[in-house]
Amino acid sequence: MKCELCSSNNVDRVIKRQVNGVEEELFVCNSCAIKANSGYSASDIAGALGQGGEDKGFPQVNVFMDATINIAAGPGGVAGKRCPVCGFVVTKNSSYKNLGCPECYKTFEKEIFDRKLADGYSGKRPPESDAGVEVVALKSQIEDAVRESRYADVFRLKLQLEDAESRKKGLGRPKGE
Amino acid sequence: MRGSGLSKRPGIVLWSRARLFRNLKGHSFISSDTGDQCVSGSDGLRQQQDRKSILKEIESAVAELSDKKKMKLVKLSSISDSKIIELYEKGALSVYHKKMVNDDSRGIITGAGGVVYAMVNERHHLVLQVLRPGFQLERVWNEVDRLDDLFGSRLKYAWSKKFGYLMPDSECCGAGLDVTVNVHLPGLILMGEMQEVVSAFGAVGLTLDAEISHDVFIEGFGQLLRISNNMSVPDSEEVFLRKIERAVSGLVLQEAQAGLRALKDDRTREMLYNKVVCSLAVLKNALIMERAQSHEEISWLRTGIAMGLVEGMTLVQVDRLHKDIWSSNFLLSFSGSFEEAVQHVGTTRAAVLRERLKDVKVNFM
Repeated sequence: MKCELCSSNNVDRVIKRQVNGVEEELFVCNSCAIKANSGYSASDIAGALGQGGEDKGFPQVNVFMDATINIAAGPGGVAGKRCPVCGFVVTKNSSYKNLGCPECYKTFEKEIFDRKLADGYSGKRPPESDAGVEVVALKSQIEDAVRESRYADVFRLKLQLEDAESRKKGLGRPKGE
Repeated sequence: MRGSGLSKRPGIVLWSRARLFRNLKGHSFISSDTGDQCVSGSDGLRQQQDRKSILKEIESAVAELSDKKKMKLVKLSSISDSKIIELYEKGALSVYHKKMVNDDSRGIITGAGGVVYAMVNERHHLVLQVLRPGFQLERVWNEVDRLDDLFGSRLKYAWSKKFGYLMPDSECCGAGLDVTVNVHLPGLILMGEMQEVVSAFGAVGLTLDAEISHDVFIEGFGQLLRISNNMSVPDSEEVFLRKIERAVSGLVLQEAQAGLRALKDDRTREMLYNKVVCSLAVLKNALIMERAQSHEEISWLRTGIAMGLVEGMTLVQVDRLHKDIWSSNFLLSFSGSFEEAVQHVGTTRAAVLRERLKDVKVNFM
């Protein structure tokens, strides 16, 4: 039987975990058990998760929770990742449908991007984006140019503004974005 | 869109709506399952505090805009039950937000004439919206886009170059735009041609469904259907809106042709007459009329009017009647308690229908 985490090595041990209050068994190899627990030995994890005697648990609850989460996260390469702001963690086969906060997008950037299979965002940009800032700046420059009767500049700036507004709406090629 | 000629004509497209979903930087998302903010521990109080601070942040932005747009933020908990139902029936309040009436960390942004510009702390921190009668996609988009720019220059949206506007559901991040068009398609339904239409719309990323009370009160009854992109915007917003506009224009043409075919075919014509006659009889004689039944029957009456089978009422009048029998109209005008008013809604609605339809009759050709 192959390890349920890496699917390549043979199973060496059984670890247990709690999922929604129900105890579940996971058949894993030694190296996965060690990899998944942030430096603690596989026997420690198994102990902490209920196998090998209840008196063998970790002193810190957080470490215990991390180990549980790491194992639950599975072989997708996200084991151990947790949003530093909201504490959101992914579980095995996570669909990223209920993220905790905007920071989660930075933490799980690669995983989310891979799932979306998209070329990136091509829609409207907020005022604080590069194009948005450029629009505000150009509008102000146009006002100055009109006030100082620099009509050639007004014409040139208006063309630039059209281009920037188009990029802000996501219609043009993003400039430097 | 400007040249389509469909915009204000009452007929197949009843209304168009655009909503923009925005979340703010530095705050946790609101969970779509429970309506609570994402749990990062067991501190529920902290989450409510966070929602309150979002409300405060948005309130400051609204205060800056109050001169320009006469905007104000109203907490849901301070709105009366009858008013909540009215907003819901108008499509200004989502079914989700309607359930949160007692939560003082949620609210709406209103403007002159009672228009609701946005919902605050719905499933997203800020949901900007514009709804217009008829087929006015370009207009609703331009208006909601302007609102977005106004708020975007005062609030820090959660946005990234790679993903666009960030949402709790990673599948929905991007433009955060939801476009909905409400259509009345009796011809295609009678002719059994809806399956092809649904498939064709699915191919361009649009869904066509009749899910009752999914979001707006008046949809989903009879032959009234909802076309929506379900927040999926594969291109830039304006390019995508043009695609929807083309798809809906094609649908309007198909519906008109299907209506003509339905009248030419003996079997469907007989079936149609029967439905219209029965619905009119029920509407003209009922003593108690519940909401769902009234919309179903009115939908058939509307079909009869659209196909020239009914005389004494126009499409504009039937659409007006449709709105006049909203529960909120009766609840707001009733002088007694809310509970008493609720009991009287069915009988009052039936009385209004009997009165307004007394001269309407089926025109047998």
